Amino acid sequence: MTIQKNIRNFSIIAHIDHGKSTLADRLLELTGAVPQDKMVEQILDDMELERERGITIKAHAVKMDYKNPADGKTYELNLIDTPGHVDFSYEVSRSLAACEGAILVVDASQGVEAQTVSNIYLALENDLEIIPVINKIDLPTARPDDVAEQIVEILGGDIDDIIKISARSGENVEKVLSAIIEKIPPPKGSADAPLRALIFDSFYDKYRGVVLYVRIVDGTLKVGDKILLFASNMEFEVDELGYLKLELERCSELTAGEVGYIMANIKDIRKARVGDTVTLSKSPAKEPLPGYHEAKPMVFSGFYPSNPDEFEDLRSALQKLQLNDASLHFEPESSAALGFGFRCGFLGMLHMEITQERLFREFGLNLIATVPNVKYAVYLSDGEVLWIERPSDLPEPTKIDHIEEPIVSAEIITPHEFIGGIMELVKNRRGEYIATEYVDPNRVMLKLHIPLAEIIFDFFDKLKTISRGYASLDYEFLEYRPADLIKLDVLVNGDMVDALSMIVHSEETYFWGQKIVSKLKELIPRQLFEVIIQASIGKRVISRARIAPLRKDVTAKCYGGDITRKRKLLEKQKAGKKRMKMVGSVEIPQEAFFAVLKIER
Amino acid sequence: MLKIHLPETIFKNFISNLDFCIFADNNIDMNHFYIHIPFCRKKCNYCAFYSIRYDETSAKRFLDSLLKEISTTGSRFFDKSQEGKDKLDTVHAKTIFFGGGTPSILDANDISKIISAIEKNFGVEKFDEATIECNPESISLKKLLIYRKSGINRISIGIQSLGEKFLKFLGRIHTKEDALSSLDTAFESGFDNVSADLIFGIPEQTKEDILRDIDEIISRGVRHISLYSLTPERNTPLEKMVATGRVKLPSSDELAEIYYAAAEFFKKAGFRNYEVSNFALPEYECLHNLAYWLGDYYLGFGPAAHSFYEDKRWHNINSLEEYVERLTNGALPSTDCETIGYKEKFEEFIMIRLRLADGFSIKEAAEI
Repeated sequence: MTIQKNIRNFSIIAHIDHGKSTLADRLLELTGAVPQDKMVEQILDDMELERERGITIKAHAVKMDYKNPADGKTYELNLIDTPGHVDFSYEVSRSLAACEGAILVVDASQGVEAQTVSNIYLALENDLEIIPVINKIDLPTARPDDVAEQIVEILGGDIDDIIKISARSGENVEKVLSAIIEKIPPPKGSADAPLRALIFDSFYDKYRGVVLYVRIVDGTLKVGDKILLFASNMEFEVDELGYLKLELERCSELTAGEVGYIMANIKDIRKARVGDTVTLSKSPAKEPLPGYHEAKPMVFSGFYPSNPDEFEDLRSALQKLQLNDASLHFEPESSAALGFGFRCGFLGMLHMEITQERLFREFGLNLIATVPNVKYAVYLSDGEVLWIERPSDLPEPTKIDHIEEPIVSAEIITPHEFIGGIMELVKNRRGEYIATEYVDPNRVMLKLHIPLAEIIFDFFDKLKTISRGYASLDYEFLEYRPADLIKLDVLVNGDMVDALSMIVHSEETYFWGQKIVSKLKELIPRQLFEVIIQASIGKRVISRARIAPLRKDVTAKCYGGDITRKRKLLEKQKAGKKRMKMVGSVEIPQEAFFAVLKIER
Repeated sequence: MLKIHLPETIFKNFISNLDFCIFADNNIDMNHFYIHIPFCRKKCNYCAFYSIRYDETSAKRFLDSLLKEISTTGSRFFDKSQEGKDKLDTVHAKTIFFGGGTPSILDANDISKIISAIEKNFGVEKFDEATIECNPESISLKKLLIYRKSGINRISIGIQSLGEKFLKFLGRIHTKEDALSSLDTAFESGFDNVSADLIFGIPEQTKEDILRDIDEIISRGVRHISLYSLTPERNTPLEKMVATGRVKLPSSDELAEIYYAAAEFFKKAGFRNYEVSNFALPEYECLHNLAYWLGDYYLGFGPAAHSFYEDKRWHNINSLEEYVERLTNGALPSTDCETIGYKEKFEEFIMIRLRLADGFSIKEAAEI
């Protein structure tokens, strides 16, 4: 146990690729937290997917014991890493809430970017002391002085306080350590107050159950204590406590200010959610820590195994992912076109993509994922309300009184020169403008209300394009509102492809009908017969395209007696077709089920 | 069918997996022989067959090893001391095919030696069809006369195109002039069964180009044409050129248009499209290739040559060096022996038979 004034809890915030993980690597090396021979690049990003995409998906934390050369004292430095995407903004806010300070890393060539600004605001909202750092100063394109001015403009402070480093070479990284100790305040809580510990992350260990990552805000926790989780109102007995080194390091108690883990034989991760407060059963705190809410799925998609025999494998893989991902929801469903699968709920598009990719990489499952959609409230004429999570479930129009869709309250921060373009985009997406506020002389914050359904279709990409990467977006659920919505169906050679049905605004049906039909015409490979694609509303066909039959197939030579190779080639082609789905007699490739996402508006 | 009992000692000496392939049951039903000549003066851009640059020393080593391979394989097929020579006559070999590479690059007398070796070791009296692939630049009247004397009765000439720029694109070393005069020489030396290979789908090649080529070749008396579409095979310079975008091959629609026009043209000239890529006047179909397509057994000799017997397919190693080394050490050069089960056999049957104009009957498929 370290005395509280020698503890520093901090996080590193940065735009993607500005060098967050490399700086973390150097800090771990300098403090001796990782022996040289165990060092791999981006050590905290331990999912392969994270290293590849350059993003941090799960939060991580690590304790470093550092003897400060300036005063000869040993400090406990807890680095709490954060995920870096809007889908996980709730998790980010909980990680930041566990810290007193943040290192803001800005790339010396790229300068301040949109995410930098939104990160700064997140940090300031959590009252964090920010240590600005300019990274990659050894690159030929570096312009650290310009970047320093940008930072001062946004953050204020003294330009000389900005530390210029190269995380790759290690240059000046020790100054970052000194700044952490000198500038970031030690934690405040009292060790004698009733226990309040913030869960900022958790993971499932198949032998030990759920392992909670916590920051002790107030009080002291000992092995054997009975704990109560506020939000889930569940009690558990602590059977192990410890610090988060690269491996877990046991200890007998955790006290105010410290960061560590709790094992309490918790079997279900959904009972110990991120943001919940841990207290003691016998002397509970009066109030939980602020900021908790349950992350609800906002985006839904049907996941189907490409190979129908893998349905049970998919179920068991989703169950395994859910052990570590409390926000993943799924339930079985079936589709006439795709067979048996699961309707899955996600926090957002990135969460969905990552889940899909993990199912592929970690479980070898090839999936067909249907076009994502939001959850609709359908009010029937008889007064009943149906919650629709997939478009094909929408009842006959005659039975519907009205439909409501989720609206989010969104904030876009942008340099003011892009306001015009962004307002145009917002208008096209049925957004409602609420207000503009100046964030600084050059930046504004646009407040709007916009249907979530419009945001999950490439809104973010469009926003980035319009603003040349500078605008940032944040949103949260506001309410359900009535909208004039209608179901659009797609037919391939007369067979309805239920997985391609979509719910669109009535004024946009012709637009969508034409676009989806022409996109499918591009994506469905030519077959040995003619294929007709139609978009329809009820029985009325509103758009149609024809795919000409293939005329020449395999005229490649076959001589010299190498029949084996020829056969293997055909077997390979056949294997390729497994990723296709047969609708009637037409083979439809997996990407066609994503066609809508690729439509340009 | 001939039943042969092999002595134990032979099994003990078996080194390569060929031995397990051939002798599962000692029935002999081998009527087709393929000889791979792995030499060229220059390798063409699109060619994926095994061939190396010709030089006399390598050719000599190849020939010695090839003759050894033929005699070793032959002696394992037939244990003459045990079974007596007379029974060998019951085997009637039907075809032999010299492919490559460029078989015509060898001394013509070497071809005679190889044919004699096959005849002697497999007890063949006469081939119904004995083909040699020739390239226009390496053909001569003298060679062709020796071929005839050795029993060759069919010449297949790798013309590929009569357009100079297309020949150049393909990396061929002959000219249109060479191509036409090679046809004339073939007829002059007394061959009447002369086939030509043509390639379509070369960038910039039009339907008219290919029809003109076919017309000119047919009018010289050629009775069989193999018309192949240019395919970027793996590990060829062409594949690289296509992958890097330096070369753009025609679309499948463009190819279809040329192919159907050519087929129509052949039909009018009395040629039958008896296999996807092959056109022939009646009775001039290539018996050797038909054997592949009809599922008959065949033995291949020379590096990279393929063989099929009973439920086994295998091929020789794709390296002259290793081929020579194996045979020098008394081993056979075969590798990658694959057992064809019912599923594979059925797939192959459908795949190959559908290439033939005659197709197959449901009854035949059911009998597999």
